[in-house]
Amino acid sequence: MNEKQGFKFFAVFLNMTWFALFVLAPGLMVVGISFLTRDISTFFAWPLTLDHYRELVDPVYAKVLKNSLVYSFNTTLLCLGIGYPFAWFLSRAPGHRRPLLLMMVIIPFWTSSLIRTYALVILMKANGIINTVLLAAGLVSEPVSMLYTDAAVYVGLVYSLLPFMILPLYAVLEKMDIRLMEAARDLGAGSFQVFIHVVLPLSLPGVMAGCIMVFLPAMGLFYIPDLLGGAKTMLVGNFIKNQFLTAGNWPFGSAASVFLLLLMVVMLGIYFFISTRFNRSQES
Amino acid sequence: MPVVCLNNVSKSFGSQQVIDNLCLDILKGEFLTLLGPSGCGKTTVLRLIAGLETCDSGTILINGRDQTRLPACDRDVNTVFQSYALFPHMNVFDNISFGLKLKKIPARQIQERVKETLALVKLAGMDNRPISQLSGGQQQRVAIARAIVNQPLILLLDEPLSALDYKLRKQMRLDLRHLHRKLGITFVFVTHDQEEALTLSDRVVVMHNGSIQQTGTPKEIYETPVNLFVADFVGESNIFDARVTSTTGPDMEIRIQGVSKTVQNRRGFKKDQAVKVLLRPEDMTVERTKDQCHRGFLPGQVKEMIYKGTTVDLIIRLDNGQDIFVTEFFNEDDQDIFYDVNERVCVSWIKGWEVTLPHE
Repeated sequence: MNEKQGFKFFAVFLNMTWFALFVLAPGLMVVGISFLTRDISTFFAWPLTLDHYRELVDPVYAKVLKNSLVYSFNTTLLCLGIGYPFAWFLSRAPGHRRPLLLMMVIIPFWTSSLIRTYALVILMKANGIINTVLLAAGLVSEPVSMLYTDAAVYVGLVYSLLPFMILPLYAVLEKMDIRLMEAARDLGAGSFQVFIHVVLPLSLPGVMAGCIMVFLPAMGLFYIPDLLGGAKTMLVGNFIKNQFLTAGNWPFGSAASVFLLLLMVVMLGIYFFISTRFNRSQES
Repeated sequence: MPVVCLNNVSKSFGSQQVIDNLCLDILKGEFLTLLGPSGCGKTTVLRLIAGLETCDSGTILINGRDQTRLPACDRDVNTVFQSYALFPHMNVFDNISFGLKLKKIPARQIQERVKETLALVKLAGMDNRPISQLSGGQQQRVAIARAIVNQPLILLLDEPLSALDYKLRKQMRLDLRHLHRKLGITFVFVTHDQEEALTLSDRVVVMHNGSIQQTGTPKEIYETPVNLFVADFVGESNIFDARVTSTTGPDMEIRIQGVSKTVQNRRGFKKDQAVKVLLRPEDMTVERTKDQCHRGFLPGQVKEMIYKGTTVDLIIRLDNGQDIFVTEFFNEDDQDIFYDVNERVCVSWIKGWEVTLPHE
């Protein structure tokens, strides 16, 4: 075995080990626990049961799921509405300025999103920065209640997930052939028609990737509804967290996790199905 | 009345002047070619006419109306792009009908016109093919169809043949000429390939550094280039330094490499003026010699003989060290055009076949 092959083996081995230890093993444990029985002292115990999955179908929990889907859907829509124009201007900015603008999108990632969520709390609370400024400017006579509203939860979700929408959109828009837009203009299309008939259809892979990358995490980001929405808004993420940390019902929390995982797998499956068909129709 | 008038048009990109005070009239129905090396501004002229670029100064009249500031989508002009720029997410039919649909033409009429146009570009029955399944030549034809289906006033073609292989390129040239005759649309064609320009066009515009060097029929461009750039860029040329020794009526005596020769004086050259004499390889005559050359013949030695089927190309080193290029055609009177390498020869030309330009 020569040096190069040795390195290749080492690199792959390291990755696979990491993956097995920290992704595969915990995942399998969650799946395993979801079939066990709840136990107060040891968290879970024999015998095997399907009760937790049966419980999930209960209307109370179905409502939590529906609630989550609505939140995730709206968040995705908001991110798309803000992220698309943003990614567009980013991709059309002069080449030498793009790295800086891109950095500004990425820099927030360097801070924990939990800390950034606390920062939002400081901004939005009754005696927070925004209210102080508004009061001082005489724009309002008493503090506006922003924290613990639906809007606050959306602000938090959109703020945290926007980069995940911008980056895949930027990737497709930046690669888009300007000559296709020129050809459309040449054939009589105004700006809006160029967008509808050429830019939008060609950026669909990026739109889909961005939506997936916002929609799926939005279901699981439990601390944002917790911190910004008060404990009022119950999403799947919060529900799972509560089962593990508050109710001490690990098997039920695991079952909910597995359900969420399956939901994501199905959605990713649909995404890959559509995107491979899209690519095939473009290349082949 | 010209269909397009470019009046004193200038355009720069940043600090680089691309088009410099250019004036050009394009006549209705003609096949006009903009010819020049890459970076000479020919594509920019095309984009200015299309409206994809706006000029810094000057005016552009299309069909007599000032359309200098009119956006591309409102001009009655369509372009065939160099890279075709076909929409990858649409099939052949949707690509071609793109412009018609935007004009809100009834669906049945669109069907008919697309069908007719497909037949015209020899792609009948290909309506539903995805673009990705077409060969380069077929994509080229779709790009042409997508433009001409709109029946524009002017069709702009930006080096449309450059991506095709030699054989296909020759075929497409013929097809383009045929199409031009059939449609009667004004064609403005951009190319850096002088052969393409000469074979296709009614008129050729030779450009260099953002300005026009010469405008004329292919014959005028080839036979009477107005300056050294045109002579050098279009076709092969042998260029000699010479000096006028005397002038007599329409003729003059020049001293060329120590040899006296009588040539025509078309530009009113004066005695003692330095001139450049240009000769096309096929305009030169070669004679074998044992010793001295006749009057007006330049002595030299064959360096290379290249057999080309219909012609024989000779590279001859003249006695002053200059290499020249001579093409001899096979003909029945003179079978003997094969020369030995290093054979002594004398080279001349028939008076009047030369082009004399002032020394630049």
